[in-house]
Amino acid sequence: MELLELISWAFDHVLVIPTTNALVLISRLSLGNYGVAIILFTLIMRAVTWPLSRQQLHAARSMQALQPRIQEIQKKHKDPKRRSEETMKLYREGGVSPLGCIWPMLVQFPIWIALYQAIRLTLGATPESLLDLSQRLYPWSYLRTAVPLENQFLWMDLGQPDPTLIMAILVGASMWVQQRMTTPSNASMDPQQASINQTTMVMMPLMFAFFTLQFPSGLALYWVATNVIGIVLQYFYMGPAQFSWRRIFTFTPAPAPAVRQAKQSPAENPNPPTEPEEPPAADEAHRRRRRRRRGRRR
Amino acid sequence: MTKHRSPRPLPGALLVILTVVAIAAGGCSSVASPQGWASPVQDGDLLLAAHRDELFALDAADLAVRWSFPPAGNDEIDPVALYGTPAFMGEEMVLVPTYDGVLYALERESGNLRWQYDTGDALIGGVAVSEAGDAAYFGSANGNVYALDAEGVPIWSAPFETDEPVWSTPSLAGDTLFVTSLDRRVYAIAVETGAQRWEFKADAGIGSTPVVAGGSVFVGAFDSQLRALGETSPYERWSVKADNWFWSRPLEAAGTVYAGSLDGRVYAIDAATGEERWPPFDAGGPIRAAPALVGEVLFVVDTDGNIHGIDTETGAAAFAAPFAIGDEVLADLLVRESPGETEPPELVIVTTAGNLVRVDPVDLRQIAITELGG
Repeated sequence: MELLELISWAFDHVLVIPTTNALVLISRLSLGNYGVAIILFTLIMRAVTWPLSRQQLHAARSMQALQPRIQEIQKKHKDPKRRSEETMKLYREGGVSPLGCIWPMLVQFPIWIALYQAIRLTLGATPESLLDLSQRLYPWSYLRTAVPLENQFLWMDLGQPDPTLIMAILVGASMWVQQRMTTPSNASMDPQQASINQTTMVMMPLMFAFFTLQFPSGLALYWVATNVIGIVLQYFYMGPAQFSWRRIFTFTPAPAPAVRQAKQSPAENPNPPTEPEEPPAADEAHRRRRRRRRGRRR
Repeated sequence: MTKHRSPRPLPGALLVILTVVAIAAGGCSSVASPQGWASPVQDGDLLLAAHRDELFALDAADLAVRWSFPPAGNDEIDPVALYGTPAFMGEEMVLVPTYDGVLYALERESGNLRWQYDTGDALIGGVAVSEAGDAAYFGSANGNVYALDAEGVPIWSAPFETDEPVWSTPSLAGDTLFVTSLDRRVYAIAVETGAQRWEFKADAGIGSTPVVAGGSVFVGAFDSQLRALGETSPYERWSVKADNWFWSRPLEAAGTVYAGSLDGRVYAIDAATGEERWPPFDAGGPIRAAPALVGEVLFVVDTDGNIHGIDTETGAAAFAAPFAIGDEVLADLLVRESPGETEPPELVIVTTAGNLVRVDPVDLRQIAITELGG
């Protein structure tokens, strides 16, 4: 129990209280417009956590690049154990960790929760929450005189759930698009995996859209802002040339590039690849390993 | 045939689980629900005390429940929560401001509804009633201040408008109504017409009820300052700065203004000069409840439920140790007088959990504890 209290205290003092004060400060600097403050704060947080996001995007891209080869393994090996071994070997060779996407996400998770709590706290929808806020603001009159904050932003009372469905739709749609951008084409997966992926991709946006109907719209604004920033980051990280909006909004699974090439007839494809194209990350790791082996032989 | 399971879906699925767990663990109940902190009040043989969304009319002699509001079985009235102190209007009525934005006028004897007035937004402050009992003044979270007669009919041609919610109880002094608003201002309003006489702008919102005495208006604000303003013109006579907001109603007695702050200290200020009578008394916990005076001892209760007695002459603790109720207290203290003053007064405290605690102000000993509605 004491350990839990300690963790709670540390979480409060290291994350929630600084986040709360930062939000109030930004709100004051943006002339008391709390909606603008939430968007600015989201931008700042995305900038601060950019190294983690980049790692996550990199892992996702590497995983995506390996999909054609994973599919090959699945076709080649019928024994599940062997298939799993070969897949793991491929990951090792490609220098890709299957959990590479999730660790950066996990590290960001406490930040999201702290931000969520800070938004709830600062909105002070009830007298009790304002009283609570008074005990969490740093003793700086610039901050202390900033509250209560202006709750109105566009059509929303940021302290209350959005009575229209607009924010729920925006949250769900932006989250769905962001997920579609990071998820590889289902054509390169086995049917079970594709089915799980499809379910997750639908459930997550639906769940957050449902949350939006229950939670203060200030939080929904944060979710929309962070999703939109995520989409923009993803777009530029992948490179506009690599990007296909058509793939995002194509509901029927499209074949992955490598698979498409393999299925093409020689007439359709004048330069058929003799080997599946190696992804850049896997290729580099392969070369490094070969160099090391050669070094050892010498 | 067993299918190979790829680790790809893990992040998404795990994120869903983590989100649900985190939201549940973080106490993330969607929107914060109002609890209410209406203070107890007494008029002769009737004592009104509230817990959350329910008001209890108690016999002042034995604290037996005479009636409660809303009446059992009435689903049409949903006050949500009670923050504003109920008020007695004349000999026959009780006014109850509620968080659902409605002011209810009830029969004093039976609790039956006489009339109601809907402002459309939460009523956090209480009601000021004219001495004759023929007019009631109150503010709403919609920023308006209303004046109603004994039949619930508006007196002014239009409500007085402020720019932000009004969370405090107006104060009536002669023909002027003093109102504070979260728009940082103190307003002086003519009670007959609802016209503005003057306004004073503080550096932050004001949630504290103003007190008028000796030609001054004493008011605390979220800019952490306790001020004395002129009653007839908005000049600042003096101000005292604390380390956190003033939210509780100040108390003026014998030329001294007492005020508790959310910085956990009690300030005693000379009403005329603004000089500190004694160094601030450290209660240890934030003070939201208004203080009460019994003889020479000032009683304050912090939000943690510790009752402190302070010697008004020296500012020192009047008792060896504070009395700990062991429960959060946000409602003002009440000095309960026995009907006919046959018994010595006692302190009545209503906790957030709904316990009515009676404390002997002589030795700071608990007399009894009653669960409201229990």
